[in-house]
Amino acid sequence: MKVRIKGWTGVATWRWVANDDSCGICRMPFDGCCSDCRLPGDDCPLVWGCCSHCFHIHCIMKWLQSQQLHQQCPMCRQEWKFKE
Amino acid sequence: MAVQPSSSAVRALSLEYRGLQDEPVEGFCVKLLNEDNLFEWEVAIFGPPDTLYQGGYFKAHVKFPPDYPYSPPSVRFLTKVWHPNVYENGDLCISILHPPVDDPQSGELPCERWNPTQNVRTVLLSVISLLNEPNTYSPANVDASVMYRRWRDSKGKDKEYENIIRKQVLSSRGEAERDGVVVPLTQEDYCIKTKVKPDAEPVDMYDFYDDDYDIDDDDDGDDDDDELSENGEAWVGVTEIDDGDDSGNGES
Repeated sequence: MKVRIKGWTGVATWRWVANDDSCGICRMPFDGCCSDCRLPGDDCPLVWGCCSHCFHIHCIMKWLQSQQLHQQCPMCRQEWKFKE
Repeated sequence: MAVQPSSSAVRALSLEYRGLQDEPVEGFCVKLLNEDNLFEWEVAIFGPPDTLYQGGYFKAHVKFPPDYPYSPPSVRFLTKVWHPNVYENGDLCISILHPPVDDPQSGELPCERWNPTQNVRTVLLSVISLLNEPNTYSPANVDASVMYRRWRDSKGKDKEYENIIRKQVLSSRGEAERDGVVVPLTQEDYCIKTKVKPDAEPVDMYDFYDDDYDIDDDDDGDDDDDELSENGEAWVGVTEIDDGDDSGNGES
């Protein structure tokens, strides 16, 4: 039997590679988005701190903005610095 | 309510509430004060075994702010609690419930304060350990603090503090009985053995594509978003009373 492929459709999946399943701040899964967003992915990315903890960018920004004095990681309370 | 609660607060709270129902934590149980409102919980804390508080049943209201978890909840005891860190009106004073502002007067380090990764579980576990180890540096109830220190420094010879606590614990047991709750008395009963869920399912890739491919096996009814109200009534982590066996004298 001969088969002729007339066309094909590629399907890809993606996941964030994080050391946890969900964001410690909003408690939503990393593969989803923060509670204020609708679409996961580039619209609601994850960010890592130098301490290696990670959060949805919107969640950690909201927390850091509410802290005038000490910008600390909410997980380990080390000074928060974005990992390059 | 002045500020409209954010949807993220509602989500975080419903996740926590459901989580505590699925996997109760030792030492306390929670329920919603009113089924429609996730922002006010009633919690009952069990006095830890081998402490003055053993057998005690302490009820409290936990109120969450509209921007939870960015701001801390507040805890107010309904049960009378004579404790250095509990105000006359029942309000609990503990650093984990204070926002991390710089306040050198308070004697609390910013690192001991609230942050958004704290949750009901961590807060209540802190409260349980605070019961038996009061913080006498910034007492909310100065008389209780002085009395506690006298008891501690006399190695229990000065019994005034101890007697008050024992009396309150005893009277709280009447309340437990009215609620149909057996307060665990031994370490063994106190620590709920967390059972491993048989179907700890990994993220099901199927779910991602359900929408795209219209696979019509959608009747497995796993829309678990609406279960809250069904169970909203039930206490979580409670051993049902079978009879009033250790009811004892619930007087004060």
